[in-house]
Amino acid sequence: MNNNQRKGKTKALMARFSLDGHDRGLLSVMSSFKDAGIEVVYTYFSDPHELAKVAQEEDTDVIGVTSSMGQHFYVASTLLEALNERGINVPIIMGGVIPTRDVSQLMDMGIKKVFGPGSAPGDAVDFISELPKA
Amino acid sequence: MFSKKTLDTVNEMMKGWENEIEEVYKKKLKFGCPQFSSESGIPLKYVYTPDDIEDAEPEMPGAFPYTRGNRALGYQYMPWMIQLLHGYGTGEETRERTKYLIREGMKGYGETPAVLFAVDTPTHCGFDPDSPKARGMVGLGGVNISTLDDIDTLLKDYDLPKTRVADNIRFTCLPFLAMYVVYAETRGHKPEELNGQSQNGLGNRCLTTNLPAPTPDAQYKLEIELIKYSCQNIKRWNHTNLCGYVFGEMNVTPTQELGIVMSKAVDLVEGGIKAGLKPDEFVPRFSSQVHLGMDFFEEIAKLRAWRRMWAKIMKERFGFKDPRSLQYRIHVHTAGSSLTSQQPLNNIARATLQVLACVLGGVQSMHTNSYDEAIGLPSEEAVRTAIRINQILLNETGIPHVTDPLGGSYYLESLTDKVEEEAGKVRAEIESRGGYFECIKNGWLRQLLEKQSIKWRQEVDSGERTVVGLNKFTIDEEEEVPAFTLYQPEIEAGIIEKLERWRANRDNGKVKDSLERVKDAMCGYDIIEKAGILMPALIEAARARCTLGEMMEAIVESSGGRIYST
Repeated sequence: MNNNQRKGKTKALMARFSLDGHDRGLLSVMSSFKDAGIEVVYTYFSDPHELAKVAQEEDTDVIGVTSSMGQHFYVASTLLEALNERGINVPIIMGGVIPTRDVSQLMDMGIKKVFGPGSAPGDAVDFISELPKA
Repeated sequence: MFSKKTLDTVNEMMKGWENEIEEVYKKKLKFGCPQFSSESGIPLKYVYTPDDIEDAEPEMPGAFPYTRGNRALGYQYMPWMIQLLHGYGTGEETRERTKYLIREGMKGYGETPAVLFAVDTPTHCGFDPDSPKARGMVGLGGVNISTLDDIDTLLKDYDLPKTRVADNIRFTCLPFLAMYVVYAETRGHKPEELNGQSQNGLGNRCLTTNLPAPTPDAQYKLEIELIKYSCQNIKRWNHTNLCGYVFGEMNVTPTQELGIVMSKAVDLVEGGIKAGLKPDEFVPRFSSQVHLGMDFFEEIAKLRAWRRMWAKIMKERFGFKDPRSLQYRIHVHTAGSSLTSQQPLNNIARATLQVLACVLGGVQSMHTNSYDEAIGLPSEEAVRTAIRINQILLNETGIPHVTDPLGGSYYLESLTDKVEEEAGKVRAEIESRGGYFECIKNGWLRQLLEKQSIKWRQEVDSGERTVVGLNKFTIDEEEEVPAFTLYQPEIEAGIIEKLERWRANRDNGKVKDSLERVKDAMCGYDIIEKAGILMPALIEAARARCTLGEMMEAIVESSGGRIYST
């Protein structure tokens, strides 16, 4: 665990769009986060504004969203917009089934990192551990 | 099964074999003999002998307990159905894909066209495309269906009584079936002429995909209602897919999958009887979509044990006598979870082995995954290759010429017994906890699924489990396979526009009244014994041009709303 630069426990808001039932990857990632001492808040959302509200209330250090049905651009753009409206600047990471060729566009939009198929949960743990604490 | 003389000879031979392992491998070569076990944890020996099946009873295909097959002849008489689950975007796009698949070889029994279509999640859950809940998801993962027009777009080119129509729908099976019956009516067909399959697996889907679902009590009632309606009105309709696939995708083991499905079967058979059905009216129309993973022999054993277990439960526990109630039909979906997005062509090898296991296990029908399905929706070329795997096995290898070709194998027969035994333990455990639907309510099943899927990932990460191309035999530069993509916002807008026109062209007073009657029926359906009152109200609602979402809303509103399983 690389948590030296932090004061408290890192808090990750993990989220799944309520109409995308693919949650196997997310379950593994959340389990690895907990093992690494990261506090996990898990929520479903049907409207990105709900998610932004939770992010604000819970004061999370990072938001992890999963998308496996091709809605990644929709989720990314509406979520970034909702966070922006509330003036929240929390790094977002995405996982799930996301084609490689879409990754650079997602990063351009403002997504911090994309973990596509084949990424190990440990990759996300390492990435979060190195984020500067908000 | 063997004479004493044979068994004595075997024992002598075994001593020599054991001695060689001891003296040559362990002592001389210092080989640390590994202990292997099956995917379900059944310990495996290095070799099997007549000794392992000493107690086995001789059995023929077409005779109880049907381990070797339901009928005297297998693929010699009827090749398996090649059914590919498909659907995306608009109805027009999906219809074109159906045509393409049929042209390339997708079919039901004989020359019957099979239309096995997937729907998007708003349709699964019963949110019309203009609902805020559906935003961003319309047309993804399947076709959107909310009106009779949408069904017409998919099916207008087919002669309905001669077409096998199977909707892969999670929670809205009843509203869809009502709409399909009414759609057929507009084309001059009576319900009894229709032929196809409902999923009717609300409970499974709520557990494994964790989408907004009706409450467990409502799920059970809706499943029984569909069974009762279809048995009494659409004799050829396969009312329930006792689906194991979705559990396999959450990494339950083959024996867990079988045990869970059989526990659900028991709950539903008991419910059907309570609802006033005679066993032989509804039991023969159960079937299963089975998950076919990578443990080759255990999967074959599972398919054989599946039939045997069903036959024994129905005969010994329920006392059913009609052979049709004892013979179990199996559709397989090759494991999506076994596919890798890395080196995707490797998936053709995986699918080939899985299809081979299905054929050796004697299944009735198969969906073969395309090699690019870990990347996105399959391309035309990839689905064609998936169909070709079936056609190569069927036409080039000679494998289907002999029924149950592995029957009598010391190893496979012994493994079939073990799989049956282990699956029986899983079923007994679920029953001791109150049965399948109770284990949805108390969270036990969901916990098992989460545990299994996390365990799988940990085994991959630690290297304990090998997935070629993912954690072993990897390459530095992954070849880029073009991902099939849709421009979703445009599709969604077009579908919403169509729905608005639909709503503008109907008598909305009639819509409101008929939805009230659906709510009354659902409220009145307070005990299973009253099954049969909801479907007529849904059919009336479909005639009044209610949408799928409106009907589902009326159902959930009067049965405790929607839930998530965790």
